[in-house]
Amino acid sequence: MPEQKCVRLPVLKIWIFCGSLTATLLLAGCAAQPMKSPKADSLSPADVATLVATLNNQALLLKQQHRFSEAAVLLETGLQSSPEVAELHYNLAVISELYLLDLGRALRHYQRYQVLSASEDKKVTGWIARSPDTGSLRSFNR
Amino acid sequence: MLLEEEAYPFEERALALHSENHQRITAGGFNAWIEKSLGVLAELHPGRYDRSPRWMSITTEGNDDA
Repeated sequence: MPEQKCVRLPVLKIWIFCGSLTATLLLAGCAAQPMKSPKADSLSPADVATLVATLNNQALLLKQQHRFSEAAVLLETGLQSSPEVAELHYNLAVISELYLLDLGRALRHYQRYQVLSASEDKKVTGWIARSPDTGSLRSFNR
Repeated sequence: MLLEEEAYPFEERALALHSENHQRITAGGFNAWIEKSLGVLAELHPGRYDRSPRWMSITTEGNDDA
């Protein structure tokens, strides 16, 4: 019996070594592959539109509860996946301007909203035009 | 002097005070008084403060004829 143990131990070591080598190679191979989001691939344009509208409306509900930072984060999340949705830019601009006092961000999103809007929103054009060259909406004049 | 002209400095003063109160959001957070100030500012200076967020409608895809 002791002889058998002596013979099997090196074999076991070799198996363990081979196993860990295979696992390492597999992990390295997986790490080299770009991550794919199966959800993003499988969503139809209608699903994306519904998702964006839901995100937007949830953000406005957060705004109603005075949770402005969280609302802004949600809108930013929506913009990451759908940067071409004008309403997300508009709402983020309003929340940034009036409730977070982040005027630089507000101006950027008002401008993006104007670019993306199908028809020109004269009110927004006025807000942008009256902002000083510094990129701030702070010193609006009456 | 017109009544409107007489009221002008008071309106300006009210704007300044409410605007100052509005700026307190960053220090003390949002509260009922800041909300009231924003309401007054939207009335006195709509071009600067009257903003309404825009809700988005969720459209459902489907064929009604089916």
